[in-house]
Amino acid sequence: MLTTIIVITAILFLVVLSKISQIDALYYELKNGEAIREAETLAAEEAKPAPPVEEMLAHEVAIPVEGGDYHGHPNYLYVWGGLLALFGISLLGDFIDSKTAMVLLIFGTALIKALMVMIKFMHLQFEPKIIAIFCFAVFFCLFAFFWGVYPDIVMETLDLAKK
Amino acid sequence: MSSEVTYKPEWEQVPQGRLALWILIAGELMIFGGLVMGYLLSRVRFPEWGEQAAHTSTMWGAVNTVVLLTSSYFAVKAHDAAIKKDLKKVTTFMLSTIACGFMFLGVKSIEYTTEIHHGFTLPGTQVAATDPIGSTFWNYYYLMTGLHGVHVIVGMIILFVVWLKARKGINLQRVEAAGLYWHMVDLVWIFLFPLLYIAK
Repeated sequence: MLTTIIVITAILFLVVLSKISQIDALYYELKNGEAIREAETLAAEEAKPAPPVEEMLAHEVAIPVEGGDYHGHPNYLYVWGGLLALFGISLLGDFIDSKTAMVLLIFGTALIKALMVMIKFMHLQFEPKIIAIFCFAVFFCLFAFFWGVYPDIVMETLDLAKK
Repeated sequence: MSSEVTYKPEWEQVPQGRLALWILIAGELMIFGGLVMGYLLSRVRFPEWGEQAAHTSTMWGAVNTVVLLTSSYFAVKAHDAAIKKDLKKVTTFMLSTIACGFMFLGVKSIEYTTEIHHGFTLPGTQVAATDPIGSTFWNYYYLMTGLHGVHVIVGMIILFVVWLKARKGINLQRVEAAGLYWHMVDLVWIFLFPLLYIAK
């Protein structure tokens, strides 16, 4: 009985192995075909003549290069001045009695400063939209986290507070 | 004044290094953001934290904010100089950024010394014995500013390593990558300053 089970298992194992190797071969075949097609497309693209420089300049287009600089450079001194001005305004929060006004002032200016750094210094304005979306998704997650746990933390009476 | 936008690439065209750095920055923002949100929630839950926050030095915090904003300006100017292959300016601005990092850490160490000297330490010590809730404020304070300080040190090391090659005109594109990381450090401080030093 045991011998029969072992033999059947061995046969099944061999069948499965042969199927896997077939699938593997098929995969490599497809992959090779894809690689050949990709190489052909690349060769065809390279064979195309490059657009004249005048035409590129007329459309304000620069060719992206690996590690290259495809974005413009705003006047950073103005941006720095703006950041310092906003920082000066945020310090006024220390002298405001109204808590709401203080929170709005200090976090409003902080948000504007953060956006200025991201957009102007980190050149987010010149990056594809997907990167901006990616970054702002972080803020969305944090916002969801804050309001998601807000009832548990703020509305629950903790033992520590009771003492 | 230099030129404005010339080309907006598709995301596949963004250099891999820069794309990877943006992913890293998003991850870092998530770490600090989580801490900031945790702090905000606790701050709403325990308004008495305001009394503890009053002990932080707004003046030193303000000095550090100016230092970091200026360092960000130097970092972006170093990138601008790298694009123009002006190696002298690359060196000047990168070393200025690192110097600002040292200044930031120096001011931070003065702050820490003063606070620890006054007994504002982690729970289990002087403040904790009399004010268990208030002392947790200092947990957050040291965790957030300490983690930020570690990032400042890492940023300085990155800038220095990049500068070693960039001053010879090698791998100039890395100046921007190092700058991006440095701006992220600045970005975090922009939120930490009002949270810990102004909102009392």
